[in-house]
Amino acid sequence: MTDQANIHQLPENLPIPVDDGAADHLTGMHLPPVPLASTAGNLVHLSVLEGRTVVYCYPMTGPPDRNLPQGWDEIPGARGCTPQSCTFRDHYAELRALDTRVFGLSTQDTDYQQETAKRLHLPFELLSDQDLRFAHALGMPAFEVEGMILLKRLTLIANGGLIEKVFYPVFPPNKSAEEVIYWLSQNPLR
Amino acid sequence: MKTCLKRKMMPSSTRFRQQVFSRKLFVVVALRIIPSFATYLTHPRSYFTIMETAEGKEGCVSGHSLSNALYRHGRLS
Repeated sequence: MTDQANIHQLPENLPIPVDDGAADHLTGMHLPPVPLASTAGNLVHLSVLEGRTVVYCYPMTGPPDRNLPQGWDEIPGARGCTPQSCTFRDHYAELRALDTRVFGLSTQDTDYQQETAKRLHLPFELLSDQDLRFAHALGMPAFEVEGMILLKRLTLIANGGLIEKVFYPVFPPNKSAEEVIYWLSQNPLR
Repeated sequence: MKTCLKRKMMPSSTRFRQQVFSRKLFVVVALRIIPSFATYLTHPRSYFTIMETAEGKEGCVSGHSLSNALYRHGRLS
């Protein structure tokens, strides 16, 4: 059993992920024209969205009916998907006020993501890159656990489909939305 | 026999009120049971194990509270 009191807190002594340069090439790239299944039941084409879009990419929120993979907390950057989603939920109004859309992205299927979105009352959509087409097209960093290919945690800010900012690594994940809001407020659209 | 006589002796308005009350009670009970049963059918057993622990210890039932309880039990990342 873990010792954190609620879903906004992370366990103590989590290993801090280091920047291995695996996301250096992303800034300046165009989002690939890959449709992604959304928890709202439609397909989202991130590459053609006008204006600013924040896409926070995360490994796995964890299913309620199964334990997390063995040694999950020891993988740098793996833990904290639920707190991260909750901070984007809690700061959603501020992000909308900054004319920004928010999406979560992971490699779990839509049913899995819908359970998460419903349980956490997320006001935005989660997108599924189950077949890794989006991740492969961008060359996004990923890792493998128990046969699952999971995205490493990073946050993209795109403007009209062009990636203008990448946060990588993201740590601690429960401060991710605040980091994004700070950057957006320092870099307003002209 | 006694009950039947008693019912027959009752004014029709009282009988009507009793019938309405029992129907209302039936609807209320049904509305309480059906959602729980539906959740039971659509979720795996281990989901309920965690939920029961959470309910017993902390009175959590769903949504945010459930997520908190699951997270505390190391189920969520």
